[in-house]
Amino acid sequence: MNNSVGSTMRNKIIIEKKKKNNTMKFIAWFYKYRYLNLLALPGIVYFFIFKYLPMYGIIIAFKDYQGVGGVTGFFSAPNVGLLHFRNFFSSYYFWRLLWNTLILSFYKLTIGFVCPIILALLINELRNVAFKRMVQTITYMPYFLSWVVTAGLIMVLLSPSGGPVNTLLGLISHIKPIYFITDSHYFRSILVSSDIWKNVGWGSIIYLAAIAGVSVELYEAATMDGATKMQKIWYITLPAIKEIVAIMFILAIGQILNQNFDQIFNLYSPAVYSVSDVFDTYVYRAGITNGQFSYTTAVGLFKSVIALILVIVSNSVAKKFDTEGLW
Amino acid sequence: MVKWGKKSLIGFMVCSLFLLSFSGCGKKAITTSEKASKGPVVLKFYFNGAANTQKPENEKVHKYILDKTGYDVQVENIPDNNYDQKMKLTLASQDVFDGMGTIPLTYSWVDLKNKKLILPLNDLLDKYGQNLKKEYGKNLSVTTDSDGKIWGLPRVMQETMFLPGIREDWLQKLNMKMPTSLKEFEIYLDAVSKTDLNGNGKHDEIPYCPWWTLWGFRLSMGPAFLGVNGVNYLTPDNKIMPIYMHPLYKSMLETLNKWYDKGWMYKEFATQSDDKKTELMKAGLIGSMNQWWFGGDATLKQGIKYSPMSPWTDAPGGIKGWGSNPSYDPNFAISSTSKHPEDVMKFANWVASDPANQLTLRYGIEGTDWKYTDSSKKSIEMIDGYTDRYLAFYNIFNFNFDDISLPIHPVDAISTDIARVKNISKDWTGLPDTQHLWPFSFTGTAAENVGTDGDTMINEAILKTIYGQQSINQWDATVKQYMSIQGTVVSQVQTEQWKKSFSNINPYASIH
Amino acid sequence: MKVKLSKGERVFETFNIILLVFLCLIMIYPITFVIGRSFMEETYLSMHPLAIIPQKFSLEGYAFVFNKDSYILNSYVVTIGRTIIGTLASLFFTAMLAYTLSKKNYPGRSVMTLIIVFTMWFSGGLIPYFLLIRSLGLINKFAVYIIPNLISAWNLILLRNFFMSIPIELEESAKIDGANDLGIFFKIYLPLSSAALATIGLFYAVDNWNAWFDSLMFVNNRKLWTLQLMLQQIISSTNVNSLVSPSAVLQQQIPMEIVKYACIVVATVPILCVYPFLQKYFVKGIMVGSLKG
Repeated sequence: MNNSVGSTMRNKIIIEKKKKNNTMKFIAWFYKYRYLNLLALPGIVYFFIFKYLPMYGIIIAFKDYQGVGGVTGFFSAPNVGLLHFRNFFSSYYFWRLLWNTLILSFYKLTIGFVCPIILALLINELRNVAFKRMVQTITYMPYFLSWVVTAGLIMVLLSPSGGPVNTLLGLISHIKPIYFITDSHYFRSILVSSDIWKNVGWGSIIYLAAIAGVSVELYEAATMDGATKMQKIWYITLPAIKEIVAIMFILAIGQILNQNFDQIFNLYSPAVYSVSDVFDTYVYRAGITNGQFSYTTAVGLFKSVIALILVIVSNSVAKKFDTEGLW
Repeated sequence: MVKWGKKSLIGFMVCSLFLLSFSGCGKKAITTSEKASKGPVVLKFYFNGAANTQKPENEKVHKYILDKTGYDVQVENIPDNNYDQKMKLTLASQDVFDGMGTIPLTYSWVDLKNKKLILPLNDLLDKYGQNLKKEYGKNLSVTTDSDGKIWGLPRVMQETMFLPGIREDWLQKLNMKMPTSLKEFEIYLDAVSKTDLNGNGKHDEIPYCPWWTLWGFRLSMGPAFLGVNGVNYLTPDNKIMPIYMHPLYKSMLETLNKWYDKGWMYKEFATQSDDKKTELMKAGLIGSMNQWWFGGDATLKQGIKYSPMSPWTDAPGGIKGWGSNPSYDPNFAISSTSKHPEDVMKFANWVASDPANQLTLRYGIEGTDWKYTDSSKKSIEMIDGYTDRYLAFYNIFNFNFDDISLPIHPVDAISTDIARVKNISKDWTGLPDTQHLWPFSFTGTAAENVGTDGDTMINEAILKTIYGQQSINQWDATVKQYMSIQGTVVSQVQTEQWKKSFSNINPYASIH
Repeated sequence: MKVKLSKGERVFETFNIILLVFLCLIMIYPITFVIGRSFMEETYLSMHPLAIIPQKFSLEGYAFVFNKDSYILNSYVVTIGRTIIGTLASLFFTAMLAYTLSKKNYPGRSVMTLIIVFTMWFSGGLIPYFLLIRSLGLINKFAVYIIPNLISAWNLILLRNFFMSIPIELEESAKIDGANDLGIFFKIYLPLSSAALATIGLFYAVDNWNAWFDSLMFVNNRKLWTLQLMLQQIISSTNVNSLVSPSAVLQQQIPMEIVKYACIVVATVPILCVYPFLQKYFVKGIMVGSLKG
């Protein structure tokens, strides 16, 4: 008995000592790195206020929240456990959202991934410096347009009444104007090609930079040996950028659940929901527009968890390639 | 060693930030109540409004009201497009305010009541709202619960039909008379699509252009096709059913598909904006259309005149008429977070005490901005130099002005042409939309978590059917799927609520 | 030195040039189309669907956009202000935090980085965020464009990676000379990072210039709307007349399609004028920042 009381006392004393000790250590640490801490402080404060304080909102994924009551409304809503997740998995939407996301990612991972590499190779072959710069500048341009503007441009170009694309089609063959952006046969192609249009130039930068690092002597030696252009590209340039291509590909795989909300939101309409609705657009539409707050929080949470796992995996694979990866 | 340091650093920051944010809230609350105790009572309202509601002239009306009533009435005008979303966020955040417009909200007043976001008005009306009671009379029934509680102040509207417009000069060029049947209308559509009426050598005429995607078509011509108006309807055996279940819905879709396929209907109707349509009208390309009120006046300057189409004698729905708005709808509710609901009621009562007060909310100050044309006070005119009608305070309360003739304003959709159009259509039937007559609420019912998956699904199917991407034969299966996802539960809940609360309201009374 | 090309290479080169010229045309066609048509008369537009060069020159659209009674001009000023202030503030605070996180000897580094990276995937949702913004009193304030967007986790990581690539020897020798971290940050790191800072700055500027969602959610006062929101509303709205101007007289005469084109042009041209001058920086910055450790 006594012994145990004594040991508790002792423990208490040790804990208190430790506490004091730790406080001292913290102060010492803080002082030692005072300048670094000072520099980091505003940023850390920012992340806590604007990113972490609102995180309590995630709990409504497990509750039946009615959209009332301020902060307390979140905590006082009745618990429903995993109901929203079960509803989502069994709903008409689950497979559709997943399929749309994956198929769009597949296109972007194949066509969308190869295009910048080809563009970089082609630009690299240009020998006129001024022309090369001009091509680069022009192909980077769409990257700087917002999706609001880009969507506006697409609608103007593809309009069935007086849009240039349909007018041209009409001149070539007398077919009826096609209402492209509400036609589910064409919509995914529009999404993928507008994405490529916007990002191909920008995406080529990194490959161009890698190609620029290849030594000129290699090419000269190959020319001496009578290699053709294609052979030089195939045996010198591509192997030189092989590693960066691999890393970019792995990082891209980490992003397959992330579709571009801005792009789809500004272009889609009910007629093409079936081929273009992805997690983010669905969460926005069903959430704030239809007032299904809890349900959509659950959908969003599901997506975030899977996306995070994908990124962690792809990132650790990327690190195997002797780089820092994302972080 | 340092690991612990990190943790405590983080802990310290979290705590301090929590404190910081809460102290922030506290401070704000104090300043508001301080203001209230010292100065005049502040009444804060949220209303939807267009760009022209936010302008400097509001200030003088604001001052005028303060002088006359002692209330500092502040109206926050939220742009129409975002009103619903923003009010949902505002309501979720327990914002302290006094009143709001409820028409553009997707929460009906019954939802608001069930969520405890608004206050019942019976006691307030009895104590402070004598003028209001007189003004509304039995029209308060639109916001009255089955147990007699009143939850909002209605907006009284002039009953107006959503008339389809037909281009007069094209009728003459084609040697046709105003269509009086669906059949004749289709002959007109066909003729427009085949004739180069604007003489530019191209077949770019658009025979028919609906408005507001399909919504406008439904509001205007839907009743002619279906015989009912609304997103749901009452079956003969007293059940509330989604409109898609209506026996005539399929043939309406077939007709629309035909119109689209033959090029009679504007290709981009599903994504067009009102302005795009107005522009097409001005460019002289549109042969017939629907619009809010009538809308044919938009092109009068270009010398293009539209006239309302006669109701169809062969209307599939069996009604010789068009859709119309209801004569009253729930417009204003007092927030449950209001600190002084009695003052809101007093203010509303002041507005109702004299037509001039409401005219002030709409047109500005009597004597400066507008004046009565004579001592009988039956009509008013705007005083020179004052051009705008809508002010921030417009629409807060809306009483019956039928006995005062209002000035015709250039901005109004109902402008110069309205007298002519009204005269043509005065004997026609208008069938009001049922959405305000039956304010169903899913809060706390079996339909609460059913979502809107079905709505999305069926809207896709409707457009695809019209475009011809989906065969009309699939429609029955689509409706069946809709019913299993969403429709059956919704229909049951709505039927129950209808039997309990709204069975005395007959939306079809005006036609029988 | 002129290298003689083989026949195959000449064919390849010709083909390559033609292909890239064609690609450039595809890149600039849409925006040229809109720029050209923004100067046309409204009635001319629908008559000549393919025309790019206006036969009759008209400034109607721009006259409306830059009219003092139109909200568009206002939103332009707001957007420019937001881009300048927002970019500078973001750059400064991002660099500060990135510097600390780049120090391999700083013990909080990896935990803090993880905490920040986590926010790239998880958020509390719109309602708690709205509650926060409201309780900070930022609704309907210009500051709502600056403060809540101060640091982007992505840009932070990019800049941190860049800082980590700066040789440690520079820092060590400065420390021997008695410099502290603040001095090293301002006197060594910032000047050495001009390419990376220009790149990140460009990212922030583009984000700020193109932002519309925060304006939609947190600002009711149209005088504080951003240009992109105005544009988004003009493109997607059903009733634009009432959106863009408080003046009834002005509203009546709006040639809407032209105004839309003119808006797209004014919303696009400034950023298109800026980026070519930063090109050499971001080409350098992107490479180093994103991948080299």
